[in-house]
Amino acid sequence: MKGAALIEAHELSKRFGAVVALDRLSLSIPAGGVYGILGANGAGKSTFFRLCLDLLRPTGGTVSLMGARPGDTANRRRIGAMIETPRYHPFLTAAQTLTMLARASGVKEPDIGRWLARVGLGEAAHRRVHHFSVGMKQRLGIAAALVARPQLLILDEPTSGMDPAGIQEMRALMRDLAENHGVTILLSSHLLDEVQRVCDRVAIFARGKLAAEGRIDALLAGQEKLRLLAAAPDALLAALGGRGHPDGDGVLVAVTRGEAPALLRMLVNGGVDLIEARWVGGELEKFYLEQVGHAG
Amino acid sequence: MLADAFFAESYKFLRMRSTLFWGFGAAPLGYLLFNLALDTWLSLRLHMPAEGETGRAMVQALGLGGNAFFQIFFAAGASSLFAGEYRWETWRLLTPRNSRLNLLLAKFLVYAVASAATLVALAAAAVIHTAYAALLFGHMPTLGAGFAAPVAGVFLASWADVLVLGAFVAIIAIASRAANGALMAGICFAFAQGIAMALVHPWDAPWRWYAALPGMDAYLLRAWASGDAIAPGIFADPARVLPAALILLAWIVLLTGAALVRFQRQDLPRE
Repeated sequence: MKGAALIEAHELSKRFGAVVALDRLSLSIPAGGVYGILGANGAGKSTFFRLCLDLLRPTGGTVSLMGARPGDTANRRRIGAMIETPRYHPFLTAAQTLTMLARASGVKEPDIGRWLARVGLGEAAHRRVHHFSVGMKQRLGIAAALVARPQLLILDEPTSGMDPAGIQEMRALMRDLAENHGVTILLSSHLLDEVQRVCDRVAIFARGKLAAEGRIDALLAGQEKLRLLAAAPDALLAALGGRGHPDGDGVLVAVTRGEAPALLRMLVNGGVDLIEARWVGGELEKFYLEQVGHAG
Repeated sequence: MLADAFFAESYKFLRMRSTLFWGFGAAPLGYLLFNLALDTWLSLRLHMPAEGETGRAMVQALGLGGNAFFQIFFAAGASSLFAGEYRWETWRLLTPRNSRLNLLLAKFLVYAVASAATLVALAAAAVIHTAYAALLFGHMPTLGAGFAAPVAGVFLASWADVLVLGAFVAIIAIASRAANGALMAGICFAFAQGIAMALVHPWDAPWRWYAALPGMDAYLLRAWASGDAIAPGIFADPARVLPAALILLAWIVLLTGAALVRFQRQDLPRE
């Protein structure tokens, strides 16, 4: 299944009165890995997720999941989702919430304790959800999305309201699910550093349209440069010829990651005393801001 | 599957304490307490026995399903059940897991079971208070001859009556996405029917009134099943029984179908 399109949107549009939330969006999301959906507030990310989950009906165009329309009975149990800030029935405990949702999905014997422990809510299993903090509700939302063992996991801002340790745990959980359990994860987040760490591919939405899409390393290729610091900067510039440009006390070199080892070897063999070599300028944030038209 | 949706809905419903009590428990409990107090008062102050036959008391208690005051409780239960997911914005949890058709049908089934249980509880309350009244005077309670058929018939007519009300509240809850709006509409529906029925003579009303007022069909069916007169000396015409039952059924099917169609097409941008 890896490599085949898991979600296909074709000319997908959604209007709310005069507001165009999605404007003829075409997008193909492959199976496997973690896929990030980025965009400013109101760019259409949540609308796209809600269309995928049959919560909204498109105004125009089509979207298919695993080859079927949203809401297809066979697909429902293969999809887990957490949309925006999770909401719960206030009179249920965390364990009761998962039991009820698992049964709605057709899971007869859910391993509730295991999923609650997996998201760090083992000790809060019998507390009413009404008293949970935002971070705890997010954790429960992830457990609820996982309880039917889905093949596709849609997570809308899953780490919003979580503490740094929680964010790290969720990042590890997502990578584990994607790498070791074959779960495809569709993730939306405003934490671009987080997205860059956890996602393989991203799509950037701007005003309901697709602004950019692709593997993160491919999107950022050509944007990052190798910054070198040497004991003798003049000698370093001379050794690089026209490829180096002074940058403060260091030198910036436009080189790909593949070419870097050979370049460094050449400099060391040429007698340049290198103190430091690091990549700069390859942040997703800069690329994202350029795409959504907010770059300074 | 519908069975999964029904299990999930009933699992949730059984933990909605406020809805369980006010929607489906308060009416039989209030009826029981009121009648026990009345029996005690009659015995202590007036030294006269209350209603003696248990079967008769059960028929009267089941007939309260068509009473506008008692229907306020059913409307409260239905509005909480059908509007709850809008109020808590929890459709987002459920609709990705099961079909909308199953999820809403599960709510209808839970309401149907809960309202049937309420009617049974009303009948049970009648059994308890008549037994209590009989024992106050040192008698054994009597069931009365041939009570089963009237009890069953009145139960079915009252159940159909509250199912129509529940389906009406459901469609208002879905359209308005508001529990309070659905509750108010349900109360208005119950009282408007009560007022209209008071203005029309059920024994000679034309069919258009029977078609427009499902409560009148239920009233006719209850009168026929219990053998009670609908006016002094006038009894329900057996020729009207089947059409009245079909009209009630049509109301239930049409309102439920309309609610299902509305929900199937509804966008859930917030919920």
